[in-house]
Amino acid sequence: MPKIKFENGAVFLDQIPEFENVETTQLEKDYLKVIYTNLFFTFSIVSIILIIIVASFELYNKGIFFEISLGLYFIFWLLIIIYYIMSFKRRSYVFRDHDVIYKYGVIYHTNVLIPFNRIQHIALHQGLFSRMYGLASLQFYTAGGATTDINIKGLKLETAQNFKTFVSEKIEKIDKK
Amino acid sequence: MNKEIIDKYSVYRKQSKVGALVFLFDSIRKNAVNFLFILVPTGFDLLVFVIVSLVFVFFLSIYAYIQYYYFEYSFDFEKSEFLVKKGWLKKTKLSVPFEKIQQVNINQNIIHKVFSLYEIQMDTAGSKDTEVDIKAVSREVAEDFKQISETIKKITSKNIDDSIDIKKSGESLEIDLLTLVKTGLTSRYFETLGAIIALFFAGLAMLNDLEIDYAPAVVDFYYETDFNLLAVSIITFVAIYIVLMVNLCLTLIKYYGYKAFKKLQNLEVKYGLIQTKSILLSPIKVQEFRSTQNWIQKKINLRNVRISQASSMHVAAPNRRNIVDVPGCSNEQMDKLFDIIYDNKVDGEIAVRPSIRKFLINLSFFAILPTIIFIILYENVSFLNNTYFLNFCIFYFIISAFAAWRFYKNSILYYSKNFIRIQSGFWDIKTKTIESYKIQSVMLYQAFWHKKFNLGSIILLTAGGMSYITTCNYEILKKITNNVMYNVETSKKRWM
Repeated sequence: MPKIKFENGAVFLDQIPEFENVETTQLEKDYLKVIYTNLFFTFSIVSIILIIIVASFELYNKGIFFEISLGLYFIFWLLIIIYYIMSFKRRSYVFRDHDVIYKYGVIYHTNVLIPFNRIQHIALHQGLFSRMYGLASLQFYTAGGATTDINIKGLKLETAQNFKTFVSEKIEKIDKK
Repeated sequence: MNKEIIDKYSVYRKQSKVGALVFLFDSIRKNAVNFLFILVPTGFDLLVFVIVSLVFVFFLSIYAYIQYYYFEYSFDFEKSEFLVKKGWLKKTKLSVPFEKIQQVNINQNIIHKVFSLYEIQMDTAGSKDTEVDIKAVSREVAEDFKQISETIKKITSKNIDDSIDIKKSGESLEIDLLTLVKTGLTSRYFETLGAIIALFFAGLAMLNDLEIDYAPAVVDFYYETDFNLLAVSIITFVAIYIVLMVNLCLTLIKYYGYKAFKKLQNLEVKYGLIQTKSILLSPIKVQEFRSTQNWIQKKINLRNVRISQASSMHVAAPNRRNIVDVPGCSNEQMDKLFDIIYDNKVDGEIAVRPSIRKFLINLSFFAILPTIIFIILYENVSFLNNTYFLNFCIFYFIISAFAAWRFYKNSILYYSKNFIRIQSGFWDIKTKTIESYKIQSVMLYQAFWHKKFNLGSIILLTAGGMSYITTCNYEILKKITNNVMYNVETSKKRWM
């Protein structure tokens, strides 16, 4: 990095790494199965409740109105599934030397960047379904609050543990300096 | 620290066995309201009541036992981390580096006292909740924790760089009575108005409670009064007068004798007429320097300044000691204050302004769209088909269009080597100044329809809150992000 000698020097520094050009890694394909399983359970519960309501109020006698509602209900779930698949495809992460970057978002394409020397603590989560596919999620907390805490879901357990150790060591090194 | 303790806590440990009871009482306390909800349909029959309570307590005890059984903690003294494993279905492994632990609290509530247990809470900076909460440990473990936390404190305090700037010591800033009067007359209109309205409704509620029937009087007043221009202007004038006077009194009582002075490396602030408040501010901990100025204040060279410092919110929230307000000061006084707090000066700034699309979108959503709805109502609802409503429509359109324009005009991000300043607002113009290296994380986002216009938004987070600007040139925002990351990652200074 060239030192700026003049008080009136360039505001932006040249030759510093650009986050947008770093190659990011997508989540494990297996995580899509976890998403499907979760969706299936939500779908089942919601549907059972609706079936009970429809049966007890005999709403199926309403003719065309009932059929249209039924059709809309399935279209609604189809859209949700499409949204989740798109959202899965948009999520990716990369660990650089000094920070972690997480990209996500279907409507708003979002990048969150957290420098290692600002991470407060790390958590490794494993949900019930994730465990069946040997997956885990890795969450990084900062003092900035929950808005930008990164939670990378759908990592292989081993990968997640390795990254956790990697980041922990980085934090330790920074503090020892 | 002796080896015994190290060995003892290097393996995962469960909490005290009796601790499961603490969990049980805790969950009963938390679920008491839900319990009442279950009881309501039973009609308060004694037998049903007993059965429901037993089932309820049975499930809660299972839940409490699971919480107890799947909670384990340990210390990794080699990596200097505190570790927690918890959860049955969703398992979580937490690791907190010693350096990040701000505070270790050892508490006892009534249930703890009964079983002579202790609760241990660990706080890290910034976040709202306690990160680690060990609900129930024995006295012995609590003692050990005290010892360990003292060792941790020693590790942490080693990292403090004591770069005290002695030459600045003794500088001070005083706010005289005249400035306070000026401030009282020119600021915080909206807050005071809100407070007065709240007070008004509280008064109405009280009248209701006292069963005083005021409604007929109001209705009579409404029908008997001729709402001509003179009456309306008198009422408006009285309202403005009340707001101003209340504002003035509040400001004088709260901030009388305001004095800020440099004491060693800290800034001490004292103020108050009836109750003198004194706040100590440490410049390293300052996260955000915010100044507010409205159109009138600009004419008389007056500003309000608010300085937020980082602290574990869990501890500081009740009396909000992490915020220092300067009720009113001139530009020169603000610069002086800025110099006391920051080592660097703001220089060589570039300004980033939002695209005109921001204005157009705000205009269409908050001015044009509601006005069209109002006009449709005017045409179709006979009740609203009068000149008052038409005047209101025109008035609304002019005000909201003007506000949209001001919002757009005043929204600017200034970037310089050490500082980022973000300005916003339409009447009270806020300028937040943050030091680049104190930024915690950056969020950069772009709506997919903004891609082809190369527009995006940025959120910068510090331990003092967030600052953002929307609909700006995405390339420049990316450059800012890269530079901020570079600044943070190469900085070795403490951010709190």
